[in-house]
Amino acid sequence: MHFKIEKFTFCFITFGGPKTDKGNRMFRSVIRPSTCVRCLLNRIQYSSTSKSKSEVDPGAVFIRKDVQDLLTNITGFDLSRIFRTRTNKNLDRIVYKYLTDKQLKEEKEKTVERGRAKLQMPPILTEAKENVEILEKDEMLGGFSTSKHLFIDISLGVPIRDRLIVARDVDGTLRTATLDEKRRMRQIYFPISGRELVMPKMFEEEQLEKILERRDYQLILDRACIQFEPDESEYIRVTHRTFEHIDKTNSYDVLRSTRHFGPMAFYYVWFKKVDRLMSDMLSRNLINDAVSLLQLYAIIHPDSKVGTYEFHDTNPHRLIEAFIDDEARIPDLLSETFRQYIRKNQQAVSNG
Amino acid sequence: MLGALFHYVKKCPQVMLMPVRTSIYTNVTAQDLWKTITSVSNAGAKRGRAKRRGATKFKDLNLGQRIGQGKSNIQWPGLNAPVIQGREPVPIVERPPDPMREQRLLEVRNRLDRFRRLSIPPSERGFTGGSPAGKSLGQPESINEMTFENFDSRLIEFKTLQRTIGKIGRKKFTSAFVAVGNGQGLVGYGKALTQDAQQSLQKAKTVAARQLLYIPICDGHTIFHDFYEAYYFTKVRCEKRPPGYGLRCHRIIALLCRLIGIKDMYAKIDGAINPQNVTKAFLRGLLKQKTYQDWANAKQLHLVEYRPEDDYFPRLLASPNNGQPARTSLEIDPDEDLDFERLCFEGRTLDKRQSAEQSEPWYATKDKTRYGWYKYLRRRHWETVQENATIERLARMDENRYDSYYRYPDEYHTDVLKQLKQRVPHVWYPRV
Repeated sequence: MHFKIEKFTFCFITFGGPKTDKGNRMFRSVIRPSTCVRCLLNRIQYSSTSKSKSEVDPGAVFIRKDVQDLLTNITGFDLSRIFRTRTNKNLDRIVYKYLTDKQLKEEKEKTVERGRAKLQMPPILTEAKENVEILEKDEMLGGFSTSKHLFIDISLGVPIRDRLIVARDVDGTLRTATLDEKRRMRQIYFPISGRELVMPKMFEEEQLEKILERRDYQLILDRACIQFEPDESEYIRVTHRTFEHIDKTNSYDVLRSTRHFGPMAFYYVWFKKVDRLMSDMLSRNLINDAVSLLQLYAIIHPDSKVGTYEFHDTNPHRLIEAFIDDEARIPDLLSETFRQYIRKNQQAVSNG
Repeated sequence: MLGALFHYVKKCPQVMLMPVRTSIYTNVTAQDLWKTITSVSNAGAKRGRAKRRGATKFKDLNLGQRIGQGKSNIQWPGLNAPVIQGREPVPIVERPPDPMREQRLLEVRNRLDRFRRLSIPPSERGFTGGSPAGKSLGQPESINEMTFENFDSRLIEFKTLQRTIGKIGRKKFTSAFVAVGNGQGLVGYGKALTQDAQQSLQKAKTVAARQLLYIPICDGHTIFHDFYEAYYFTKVRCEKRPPGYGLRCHRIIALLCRLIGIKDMYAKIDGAINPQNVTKAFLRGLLKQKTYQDWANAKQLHLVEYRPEDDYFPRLLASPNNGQPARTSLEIDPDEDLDFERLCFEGRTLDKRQSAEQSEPWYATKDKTRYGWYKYLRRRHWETVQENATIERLARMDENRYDSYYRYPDEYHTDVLKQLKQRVPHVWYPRV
């Protein structure tokens, strides 16, 4: 795959900015995306052009507080899994410290905060639509160069996604940049460490299948989170494929206490593929998580029968039974696991 | 008279007259010739010259040869061929020379040498080729009912020394210092001094096997904490390292670590490097290691560990269990040293002033930039800085990699003239 090197120049006056700003941003991007998710979604909603009635934006639903609370409940918070040992390329020295009781407490609180930051969920969005606006058509400038020129605004204080990126084609038209051009320019001028300009071979379909066979889900999802923005078509393709594979192999537990469990559950609920996940939860005696899933289902699909359930007073067993009767796609599996769960419960009760 | 003979020979071409030149090769016997290089004076013999250095031995060069066979392969009937074959007499025939003759002779003569350097496979080699130090001596022999399965013994130091004994004069001894270990925490070291080399190795091995020490290992791969230990003038500083680091130590310490079962450690020896003192200092330091509980009790505070592979998650190793609670920050003197690293080394710190100089070799001169060290640095800069990027780039360019770099023509030339005129294409090697 050849891609010609375009000349990048900028015609806006630049001020030498403090380096700490970018450094902080790059460090933060390791834990969370480069901009706050809420602001990102606001911007995307504002700039999206078409919004037909049938197309509901999943991002708008994802960002709701009740949905986020439910997803964090389902994800769990096991500190040992959040800070688990990664492949150790970091051969730095181990640090030992003497701490008083108070300092120990503070450290524990700090790690909880750090853990929460690590669990910030990348949103599920629709694909971003390319809207190329032609700003000016100047045929007199046609043929001024053998390649097109791209311009980006690098003045201080503007969020990266808001920056104006325009292209002057060879025939003289001045237009806003396409999505791919925007992505590349942003990465060159405001780079995020870990993000490549060319999509890594790992995300191509053949190679992706190989990694999925190995069940290395965290690797793919973490790297996709760094490499792509959540509204890129590639990100959507990769994440959806991974979630499908996890559903087939019933390996949901791999992603518990990671930032990807929430989006995964949201994906299943959005496309009404909840059954296997629910049966997995029941087999692990997580009845509350199963109820939270149903609540999520009610919020996302208010027209369905689950939307009519009352979650406050009813017994969770009744809710699940009602779901098996109404909306379950694989009712046999669910009822089987539910029966086993009840049996285990009764045994536990009888044993004391 | 010779002149007259010469003229006569010129007239009759069938007669060949070769003047025999008398030389030492023809006048003197082989034994006398060899004596000139093998003989050693009496005084020299006392000093042991006849055995090692003056060790040219008499070699019978006739071995491997037969009368009648030489460089030119001629068949002499009566000597190396029968006189009559069937009914006809065998003629004098010159056969083509045998190319393997020289090699065969060399092989025969080499086999006569007693001391030959055998080629040893790399896994069995010691520290250097010259000395047997570092070599494995196999499993120690079982004592009574104790068998030493999974034990390996290694020679650390092998010395030959002489002692002057009254009336006899000088006597040669060999000293061997051997360490024995099983890779799971048990080590022992032993020394022996005997007259025979093999005996001293075996004796040292049995001594080491009798005196075993148990050394606790942290997580199965490293020491618990850094330590410093000195023994006479040998100072050893060992530091704990994460898994995957390897043994970055002096070869003796690395050898001992392999016998103990330590896989990741950094060690630096300062002062005299005496093999016996190094082992003693190292093992002493290992045995003196404190548990985390002891460290916590010493300072009456909680001991917390931050590992880089766990993203610096604080893990509580030990809390003081004396009965008294951990101290509060008010009770701690502000001047008190709570730096764990410094406490491990008992207040000693590293002199880091020389580190910048140490990273450059002694032959790096600053004004030489077109060749030498700085040119090498500039050449390697691209690889070191763009290491991952080059790997990614090459992975992406799988099929097309060589096309773009080697610039081979698309068509395969069948025209002979074109092939003759074709120059060797300028090869661009990728910066890998």
